[in-house]
Amino acid sequence: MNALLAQLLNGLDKGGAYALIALGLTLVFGTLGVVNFAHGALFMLGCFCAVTFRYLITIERVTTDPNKLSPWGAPVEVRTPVVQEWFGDFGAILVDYSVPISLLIAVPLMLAIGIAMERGLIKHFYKRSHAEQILVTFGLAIVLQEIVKSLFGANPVPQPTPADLRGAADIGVWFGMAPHVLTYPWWRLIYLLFSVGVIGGVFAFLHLTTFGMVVRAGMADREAVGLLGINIDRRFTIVFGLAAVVAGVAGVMYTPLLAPNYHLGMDFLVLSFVVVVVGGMGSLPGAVAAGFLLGILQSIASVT
Amino acid sequence: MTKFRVDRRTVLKGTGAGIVALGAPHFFIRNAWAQQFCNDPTKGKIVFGFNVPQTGTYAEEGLEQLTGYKLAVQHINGEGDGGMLNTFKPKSLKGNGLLGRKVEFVTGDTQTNTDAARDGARRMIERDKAIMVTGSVTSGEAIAQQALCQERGVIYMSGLTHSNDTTGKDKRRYGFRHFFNAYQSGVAIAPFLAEAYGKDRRAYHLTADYTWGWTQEESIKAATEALGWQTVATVRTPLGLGDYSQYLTPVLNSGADVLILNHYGHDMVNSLPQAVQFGIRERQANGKNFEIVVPMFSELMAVGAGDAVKGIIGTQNWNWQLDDEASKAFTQSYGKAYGAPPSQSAHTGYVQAILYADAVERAGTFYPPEVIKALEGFEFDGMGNGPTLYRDSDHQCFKEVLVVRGNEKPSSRFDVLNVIGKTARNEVTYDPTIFGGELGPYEPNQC
Repeated sequence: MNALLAQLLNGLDKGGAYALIALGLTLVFGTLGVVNFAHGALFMLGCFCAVTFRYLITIERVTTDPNKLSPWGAPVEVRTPVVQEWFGDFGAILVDYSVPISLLIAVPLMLAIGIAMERGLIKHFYKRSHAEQILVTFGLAIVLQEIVKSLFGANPVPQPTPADLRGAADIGVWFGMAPHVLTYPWWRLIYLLFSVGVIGGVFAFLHLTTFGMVVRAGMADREAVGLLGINIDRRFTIVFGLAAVVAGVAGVMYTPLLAPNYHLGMDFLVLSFVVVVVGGMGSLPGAVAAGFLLGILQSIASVT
Repeated sequence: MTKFRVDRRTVLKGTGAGIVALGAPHFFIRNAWAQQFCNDPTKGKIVFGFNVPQTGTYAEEGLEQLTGYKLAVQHINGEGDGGMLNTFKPKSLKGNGLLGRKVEFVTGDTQTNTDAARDGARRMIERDKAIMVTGSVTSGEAIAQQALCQERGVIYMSGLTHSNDTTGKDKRRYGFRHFFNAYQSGVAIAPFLAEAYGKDRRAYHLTADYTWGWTQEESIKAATEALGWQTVATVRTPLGLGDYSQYLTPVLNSGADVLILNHYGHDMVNSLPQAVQFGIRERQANGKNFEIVVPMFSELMAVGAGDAVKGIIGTQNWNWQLDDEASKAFTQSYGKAYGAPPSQSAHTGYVQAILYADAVERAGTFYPPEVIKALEGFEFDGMGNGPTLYRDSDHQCFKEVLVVRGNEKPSSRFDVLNVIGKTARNEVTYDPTIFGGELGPYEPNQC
């Protein structure tokens, strides 16, 4: 019973990642009618936003002491993190919490990337067949992957969890069980809550704002909205950017759980498409529900 | 005048006589033809083929191995400071190339993929006329290239490969391995595990689901059970899995108190930190602290795993922090050339290239059967692992094995692992028949 509960929790956090990616995919498909195989690459780019931020924030000033030689004959380097020089203790906190803080740069960056992708490439393929859309977006995914590989190398670049949030929460105790029966890492819990929050935010945006209303109308009947004099193209471009942001932030927060590497996007893409299809192409609640369901199924399938 | 009658009998007699007459010289030059072999460099350049993963999962280890190979070629050609050629004995190489001629090389990318490895090796033999092919980071690549090279009559010196099968059931006459194997890791690590964690432990294995994972699991299980440990469960995990949470959750309440991760490369870079995140090392089970063991390490994996590797026990083929003359000479030489200390991947590549070249020099010929015989049973020292034997029955090197532990306070990314002990060569030597397999014939196939 406890094993099952533990796997259920496991499934929820992984399901959160799938749900976020599938949400973006369904948004893009529902609004633009484009099958976007580059969405996994957007998730991967989000991960590398966190990597880049951490790299920038941990830039060190390296001074070499030519009088001291390391055992392999090169001069010993003395490294001082620049951020700590400027900000002292606050700098240390910045470095420690680099993953959540990188959300601040990931959001505008992913928005820009999404809009650039849409205006630059996807726009030309609206009227084409799905097969051609798949080909071009898959090709884009490979190009993005190789760019990341040439910039960051082929090895995974692990990102640390903030020090206070390492370790596991004793969930069993919250539900009245004996201690140490049901534990779950803190960061995974945070990720689950974060993904629920983002999903809620997207739904709120779609259902409670005028912009969202126009988007939903456009998903239902694009031509009619155009005939009413509303510039639906611009709104859909922004929706694409929003989908990219959702995938990107899912990636940023996932980095402490899974060391980002250049082919992460492809690993998540396949299952995300399964989620979208199971949830119903174009159905947002369906995508979210199917995402969580797939995560739970994947976990439970390994219970022996 | 007798009429010359051409009848059947005459024709037959004449043909028989003709065949014998034409064929007679062949009996005298038969041995001369037999010396013909693939890519004989007497008629062309001496080319070594370095086929390593330059892309894919193990790209970083492959590129490091390539740096070791390139340094070896420099030293063979007499350039640089000689590195381990100054400590290697008994040495036949004279530092003026190979049999007096310069060695060149070509490189290939196996993409960490078995089929690409085989294709690359084939291309090097057919197009680039390589006399020797070397390089691997996964056992799949090594076994595939070894089999191909046996078919083509070209010697293959494997790179980094740890599965028992490479010199076990898949051994080949034309294949040679310097790197240690899973069985040796098991034997080496067992006494250190007993000392650190006691003899009354219950182990849970998570194993990468391919040949290397299976053989390592088998070897570690046998070695730990010989100590008195019990094996609670052995679970196979798909290769390249990113998220191990679904496999780690059952470990916590399984009744085990040691988690053994039979994972390498990216698998371990993910599974170990995730296991630590799940709080496994803070837990208690059966009245003892829950421990994690990673039987085979590489420096790059340890860097990738970050803080999670601190205090974890494992084994390595070689480590730059060893204080014997040969290791120091190699570390200095490599450090001057590349600005960083060498990894075990670079070391095994360097050693294999040197050993092949030295065997050719010793045999006085590139003819593979003679080179193979020069390597079989070769005892040497001064290559960083103490006295080493290239055993003739399975073409596996026998030398001491290092037991390492994650450094609690690393000063840089180069000393994340500390050597805590060495297991002597005679303890890790085993009967070659336990793994089966046949070496095959000496006679070279034509390519």
